Amino acid sequence: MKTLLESRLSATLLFVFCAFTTHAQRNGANFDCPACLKEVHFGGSKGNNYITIYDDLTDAKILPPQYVSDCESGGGGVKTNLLLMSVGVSPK
Amino acid sequence: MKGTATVVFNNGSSSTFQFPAQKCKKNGNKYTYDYKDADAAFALNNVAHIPEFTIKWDIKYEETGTWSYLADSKVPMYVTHKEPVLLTRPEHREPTKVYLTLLDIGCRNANGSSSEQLIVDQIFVKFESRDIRRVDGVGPIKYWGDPAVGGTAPACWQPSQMLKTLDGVCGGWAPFFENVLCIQGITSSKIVIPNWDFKLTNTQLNALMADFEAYFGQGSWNPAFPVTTDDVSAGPVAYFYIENWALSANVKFVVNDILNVVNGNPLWEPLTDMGIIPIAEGNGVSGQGNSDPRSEFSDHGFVEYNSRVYDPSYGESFESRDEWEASAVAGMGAILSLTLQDDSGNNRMLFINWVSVIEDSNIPGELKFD
Repeated sequence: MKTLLESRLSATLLFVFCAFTTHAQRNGANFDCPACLKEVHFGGSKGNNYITIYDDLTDAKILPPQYVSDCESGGGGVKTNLLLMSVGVSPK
Repeated sequence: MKGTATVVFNNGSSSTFQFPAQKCKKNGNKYTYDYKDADAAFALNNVAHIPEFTIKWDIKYEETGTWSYLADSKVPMYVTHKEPVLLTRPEHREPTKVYLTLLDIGCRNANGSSSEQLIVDQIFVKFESRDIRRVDGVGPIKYWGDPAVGGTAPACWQPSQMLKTLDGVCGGWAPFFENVLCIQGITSSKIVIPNWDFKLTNTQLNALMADFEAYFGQGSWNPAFPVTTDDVSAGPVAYFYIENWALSANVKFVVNDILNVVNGNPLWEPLTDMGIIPIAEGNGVSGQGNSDPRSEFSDHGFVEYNSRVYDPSYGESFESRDEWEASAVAGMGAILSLTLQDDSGNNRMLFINWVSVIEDSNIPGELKFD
């Protein structure tokens, strides 16, 4: 059975690994990351206004993490800019 | 588990985003922090390029009840001025699509700006470098990099293909720049097409033949107009010449830089004047990734925003259309082919330029702008 310290070290290593593999995920590699930023967007509700990015060479959608759009407030019932995010979601 | 991200912007200001504490899920070695609103947002309309949006994660184990640092997660982030507008704009051959390089050029160069005019100007500074590369560093993407195929290859008219072939004509570079703007949500620009009315009038054609006979001698030569792919149904195409040319009023015919054709085969080689026709076309005004691009056209395409001319093909901007014409255009005329026999007995076809008008910077509007 792991001690608490061992568990913490294990988690730390996993998160550091994630930081180094972000670019692999951007390029669509098969990647199961424990802490990747999947979606960040502002000024709207979850999932409706992040931008889909395409790869220059393949035209393929670049898998999460996605990039953000700064939506105008006041134009669609949007009252506040929100930052939404998720971690731990594998790209599909 | 909870997170904190602090971003320092170009103007020195900073924002901190707190991701509030919530229970995370643990599945083996995988921890999940689910969707959660942060307590702050980016400044409205402010463009940002954040190479590493870093969230510092803390975790609290139920056994101890104290927070401790876990790790950082990092992701590149782009924030656009407004929602991207992804339509097929006038004079474009495809809808705007958010390619990573186009997004990167916009956000990286306008980083920290929220004024639309400033964003346009800052983005164009990158085009002024004439060194536009893909995000992966490959490039530069050229203007008329391959003059043999540039005008006819559909790829050279589509930004999506220019990213792959690394080559484009003015009809590709103008949409390329506009696409960068559209991704920032800026749509008040338009593409303007200068031309010398595309087709010679009968009066101009008669003047050409008179000049030809005066220059070469009556009945001595039989010039022909080259086949053109331009959108003119019939008749000789009216051209204009982009600097640099050494034109003079009393020399009506000069050799241009398209190509030689020897015994029916196109041949790229140093131009010859055959001892008859002066070579007036010098090294051109530099274009994107090309210090000497093609310099005679039946039309051109540049972008106009707020009455200012942005010519992405050449990486130059101008106060007005007239200033563009005075600076960029050397003259107007037409292109002919002339077949001669060289000293080796080869039939050598030269493309020559008829110089009808030498651009006079004191006379605005010698070209039309569609």
